[in-house]
Amino acid sequence: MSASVRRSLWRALVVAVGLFGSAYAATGYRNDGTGVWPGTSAPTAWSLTEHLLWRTAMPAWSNASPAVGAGKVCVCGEPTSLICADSATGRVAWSAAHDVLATLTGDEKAKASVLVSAGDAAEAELATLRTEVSRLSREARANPSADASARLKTVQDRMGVLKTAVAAAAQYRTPPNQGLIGWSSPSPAIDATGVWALFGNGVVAAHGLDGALKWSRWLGPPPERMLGYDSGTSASPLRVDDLLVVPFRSLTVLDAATGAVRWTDKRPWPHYGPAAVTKVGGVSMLLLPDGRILRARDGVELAKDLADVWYIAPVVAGDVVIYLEARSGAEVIQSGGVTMKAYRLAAAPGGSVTTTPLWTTKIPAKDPFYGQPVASLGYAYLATSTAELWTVNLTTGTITATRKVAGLTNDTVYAGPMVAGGHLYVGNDSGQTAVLSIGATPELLRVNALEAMRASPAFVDARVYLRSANALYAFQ
Amino acid sequence: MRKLDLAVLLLAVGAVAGAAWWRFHVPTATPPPAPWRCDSGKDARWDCFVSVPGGTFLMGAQATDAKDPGYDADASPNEGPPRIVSVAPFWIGRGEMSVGVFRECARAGKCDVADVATEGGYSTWLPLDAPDVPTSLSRPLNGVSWKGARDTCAFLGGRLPTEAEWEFAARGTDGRHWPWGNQPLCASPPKDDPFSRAQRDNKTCTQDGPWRMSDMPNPSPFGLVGMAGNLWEWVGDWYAPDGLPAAGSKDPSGPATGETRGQRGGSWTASSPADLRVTVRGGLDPESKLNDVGFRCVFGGADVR
Repeated sequence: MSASVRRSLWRALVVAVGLFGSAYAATGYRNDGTGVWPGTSAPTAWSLTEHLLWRTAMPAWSNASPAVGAGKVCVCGEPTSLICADSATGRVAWSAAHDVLATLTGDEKAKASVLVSAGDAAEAELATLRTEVSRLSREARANPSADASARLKTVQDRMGVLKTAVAAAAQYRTPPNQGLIGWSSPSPAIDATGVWALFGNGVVAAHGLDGALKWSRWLGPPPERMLGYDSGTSASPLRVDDLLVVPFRSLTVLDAATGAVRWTDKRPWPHYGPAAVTKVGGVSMLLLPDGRILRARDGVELAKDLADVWYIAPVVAGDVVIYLEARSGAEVIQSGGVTMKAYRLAAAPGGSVTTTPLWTTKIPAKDPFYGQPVASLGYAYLATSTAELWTVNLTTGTITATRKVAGLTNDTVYAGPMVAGGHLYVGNDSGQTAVLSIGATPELLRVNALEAMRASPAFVDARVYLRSANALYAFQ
Repeated sequence: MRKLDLAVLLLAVGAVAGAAWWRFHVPTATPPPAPWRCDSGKDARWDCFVSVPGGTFLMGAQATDAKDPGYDADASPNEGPPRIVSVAPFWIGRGEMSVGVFRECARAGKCDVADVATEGGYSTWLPLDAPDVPTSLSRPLNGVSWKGARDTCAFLGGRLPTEAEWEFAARGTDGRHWPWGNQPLCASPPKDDPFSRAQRDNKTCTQDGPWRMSDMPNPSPFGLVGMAGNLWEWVGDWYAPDGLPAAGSKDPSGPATGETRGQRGGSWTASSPADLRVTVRGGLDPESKLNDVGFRCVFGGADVR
């Protein structure tokens, strides 16, 4: 594709965005939620010896992607830290932890403090009983007797009481390490006025760019169940107009400046991805993984039953929304793949929207899709957990290419593909990132290797920022 | 042809046919109903059943002489003496039996909730009148008595495994000490993974309570999980505290009588990998309902009590 054609396409995209524009008011999760980073001149090659601008060690791992703006690059750290560094030097400017107790006041805080103290004491006593129960368990079974069984039962019953006290305090305490999804997977959002972050213990907070806490709020304990997995939270908060859209337990929309609740959706939020955001007829709308479209300012339902997505958010490209009905690996096998659907959005009277089905395509993959697709310049790109890349024509839904991305090892692809500076990026969790051409049949150009990483890169201006398990990098 | 000649001919034909059948007939275990088999596509379930081929193996362990078969420096006297044992093919639960199946059994009137300890911080029980939350239903059932375990297996059409079947399913034929091999990894093995630093520090094989089957790593040679740690598992045999039962070498099923029923596999209360070896044995009052006890069922196998 020539440079002039590419520029024309970018212009058309800008016009489309203006009409069916982005309602994003800040940058964060996949830039504006789409995974497209237009206009960047970041390098396509990076390693410890190529284009490295700086590397800053991080105190703990995190799956959250960097949010870059206002001279800062902000990431998260397990379990509940928000860490912001100077984007030019990598020097950490400030870091803040987000405990539940700090968000509570008055009676609620007093009650929670009592439970936490009792939970701490219970954990200490449990630790002393561990050795005893292990010994009694062996003895009671090797040479059974009523006496030995009774002693064992007494200790186990006491441990059960203590365990209940620990569980009662759990929601208020710093969560223990949880190795896959973690507690700090939601990506922060940043703009010229501040930074917003959400953590798996239910705390959502806003900080000034200088780190000062503006407000924090506790949305309740973690949800009991995620689709296909059972703990951790990963859906990112989104800045939309003057709102903060928070997908945690259910969808809660806050005033971004004050943290006041504007509205709450009743349904639980068991999805791993957030909503997609778009403007239709000048009205900001949220496109949910469960197939509903809600008006951002008040939560009024504008459409429903469009799709049922598990792991990832819908994807908006101009006036088209795409749903990839990704499911667990077992379901993918049983169903013979996953279904991809596209609808055209159009403004309707009263600030509503019409949705016209465009196409439905079966993607006959054999592995699940954990990462969100990216749509750019007429094509959608989606990658399975095993780095099988599918390319779909956005107009017709036709699959134009499928290939295993060569050069990526057998580690898992969690982050969705991204398009930046006219290239396609697909990364796995060992820190390899394949760089491909865009178009009907993407071709592999190179593979960059870094270290274990689940976060998506952020391509801003002349730099690309990457957050590995151990460090934050900038390449220029 | 004379009648005697005909009789001899028929006998000969019968003998040849019988020998041919014996020679070529491959014994197979009676499988569980199709929806319960792990190969029926529902492989996301942990309480489905896996086919285990029959075989011969060295059952038990001894710490007396390193030159003798079955040597294991950690072996207790009740784990031996090791003996060659054969087991017929059978199907066995891929994971420990779930809360959901026991609830179905109780709702059908074939199991008694009184056979489960339903209180306490470690209980995995979900009351019958509680909504069917899938993540709660799939958890392994603990605090169950031997009778509750037996009744659940009978409800499905199966039974509890014998000690021999359990041990064969856990270790296969190569004499390994743990389901995963001979390295003393813990139930949550250290991983060289920068995302799992807490797991890397867990060297004592401790669990903080019963885990879901999906969290139990390192399957046995036949793809079973939870055979080491998590919950002690009832077996059908009476327990012989003075060592492995001196039954025959084919499909042994323990002593004819006893006071306690056998258990295998160790549990979340273990404090070292040695407690989780496949030859570790124990017994308990069959009416006990401890929070570190569960079970899995079998189909097929030999005709045992």
